[in-house]
Amino acid sequence: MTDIFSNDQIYPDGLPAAHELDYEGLDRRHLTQLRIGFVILALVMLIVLLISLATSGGLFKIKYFAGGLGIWLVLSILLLLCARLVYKRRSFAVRRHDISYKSGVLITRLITIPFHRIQHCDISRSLTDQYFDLSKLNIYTAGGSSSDITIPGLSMEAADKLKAYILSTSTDEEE
Amino acid sequence: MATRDWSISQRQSKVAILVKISDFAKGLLRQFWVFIPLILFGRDGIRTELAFLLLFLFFGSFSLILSIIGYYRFYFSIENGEFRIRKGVLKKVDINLPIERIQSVNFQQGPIHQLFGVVGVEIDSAGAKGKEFEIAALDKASAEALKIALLEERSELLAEKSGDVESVALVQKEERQLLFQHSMWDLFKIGISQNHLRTAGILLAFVFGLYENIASMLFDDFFDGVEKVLGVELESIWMTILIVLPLFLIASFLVTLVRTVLSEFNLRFWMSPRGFTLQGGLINRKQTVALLKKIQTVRWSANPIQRTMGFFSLRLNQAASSEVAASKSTKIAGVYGHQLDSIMQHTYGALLDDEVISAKPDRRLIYRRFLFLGILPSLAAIFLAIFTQAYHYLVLPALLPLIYWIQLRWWQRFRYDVGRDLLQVYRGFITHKATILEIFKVQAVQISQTPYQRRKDLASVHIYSASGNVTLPYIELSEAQRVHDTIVYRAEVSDDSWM
Repeated sequence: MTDIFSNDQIYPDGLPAAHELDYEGLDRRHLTQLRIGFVILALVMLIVLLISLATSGGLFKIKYFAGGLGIWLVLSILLLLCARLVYKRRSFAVRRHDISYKSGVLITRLITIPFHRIQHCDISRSLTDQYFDLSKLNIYTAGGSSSDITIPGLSMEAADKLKAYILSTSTDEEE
Repeated sequence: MATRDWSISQRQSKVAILVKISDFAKGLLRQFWVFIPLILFGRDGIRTELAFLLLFLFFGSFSLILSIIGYYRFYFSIENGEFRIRKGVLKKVDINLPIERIQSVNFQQGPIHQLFGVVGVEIDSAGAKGKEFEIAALDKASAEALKIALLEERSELLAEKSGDVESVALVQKEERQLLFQHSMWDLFKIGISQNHLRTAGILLAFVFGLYENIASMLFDDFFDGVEKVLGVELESIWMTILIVLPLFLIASFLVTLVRTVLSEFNLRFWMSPRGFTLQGGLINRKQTVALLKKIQTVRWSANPIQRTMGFFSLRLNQAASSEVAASKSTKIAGVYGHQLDSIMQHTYGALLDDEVISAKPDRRLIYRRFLFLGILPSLAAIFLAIFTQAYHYLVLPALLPLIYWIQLRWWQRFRYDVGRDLLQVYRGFITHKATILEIFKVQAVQISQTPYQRRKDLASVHIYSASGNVTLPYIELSEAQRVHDTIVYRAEVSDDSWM
């Protein structure tokens, strides 16, 4: 065939594979941030446990008290171990025309957004982000919230650079 | 038609006051309808009635005053290539909409509009929120003139930008062709073929809601009456079910029928080079436009009744400008097969004849669905039956073979066709469903794997468009990656605008 497009197949061969890219991890400080988040979560769970024990009168029965505390301890340790996994699984890769983001511990996800489908992107910083000097990069498409990407745990310079790059590519496309 | 100077600030038709009051009343009614039976049948005596009367007077005069002031504060005009609205009673607003951003100008007519021969005008744009650019009421001639003025100015502006005068002129003169118009008989058949179970569900929720709110005072009387008429006592629950169920089914049937007739009355559907126009409805007469360029996904479905009559329900989902996604899809409760074919042909043309690769989810999806929808609930039911001695729970485990069969049939129906430009997904066992989307319009693609899928080298692919998503569940990981990479590639090499 003398088509302009040589790859006339439904599934063209030799397409760059999104899952084989060099994925870049997040800033080390994000791991600490995650851990602190999980510690706070564990503390909240402990308070809830103590309140429910106190109101049900189980606080002074050694059986309930020890049982409750034991379960809490196991959950908390699991959570803290999880933090490392959560951190490790989160990574992103930027190509000339798109950005991919991997995440998820139990259910793993890999999402790719072409740059010229991006509606806008912004940087947000929560309280802990400000403490650790980190930023989140939010990338929005027209596909609704489930197709948006939020990349947490970026250093401020990295987030700014990434945002500037994405904005420059999406304006290039328009011209 | 004399040309009007739209740069001078214009007012709405005075009917707008009435429309605003009725909107206000409708809003109140929607919030507080549960109290109406209380007011009508309440046994608290004169004092509550007085209180409600006072409340009614208060809200009534309040909305009247607001609507009148609102009318005198509302101006619209076309200035410097922008459509401008100034309005607001408590908070003054002055908003401008660049005319080239206007997507469509729609008219709609509620009962009040119809009575006075005016129309409500909605100016739809990419990026505007909800009903920002809406004129509550305008006489028909002015509305048509405004529409023409806006669209002409937009064409000029766009032509200046692109230099493509010819195609713009073409758009202006575009002729639309009536594709179909439902007769009363069609309408009746469409009404019959709708999903009555859904109405039954809504009705059930409604009845329970009512029951909660006004307790048994109405229903006790009702059942007493039924008992008297039938001469039997409704002591056993089975008797009640025997009598209430048929009544209930008839009611849901009638409600769906009436609803369909009201919303699809005198429905007309036109094709034009740029898209489709739909007009119809009895109480709320509505005109919607679906531009081919903006259509992201097309969905049709056919339940068993519809299939025997040769009908399909159709939705043309357009890119939504904001969160009002639901209103951006053009819905038709019933089209005949050949009409669906022409609509599909007009939307996708030759793309439909392209070769495709058909595939389906892995067989293990049946077992997983059977596990989650059959076995686990059955185990729970068995436990419940043992511990509470309520043996009717055992119905569920007895239904297991049926549940398995349904999952099997469901899987057999699930198929997706990947072509160069179109992705078509067919599914649904009782109601057949199809989703068609143009691959280059996809916004994002995601591969996800549950722990089970990871062990078996399976994955699910989620494909997001600007209006409607598609999931291909439980396909081989390598296949999922191939689909993912291909869709991303097609979206990236395409120069066409996705809306």
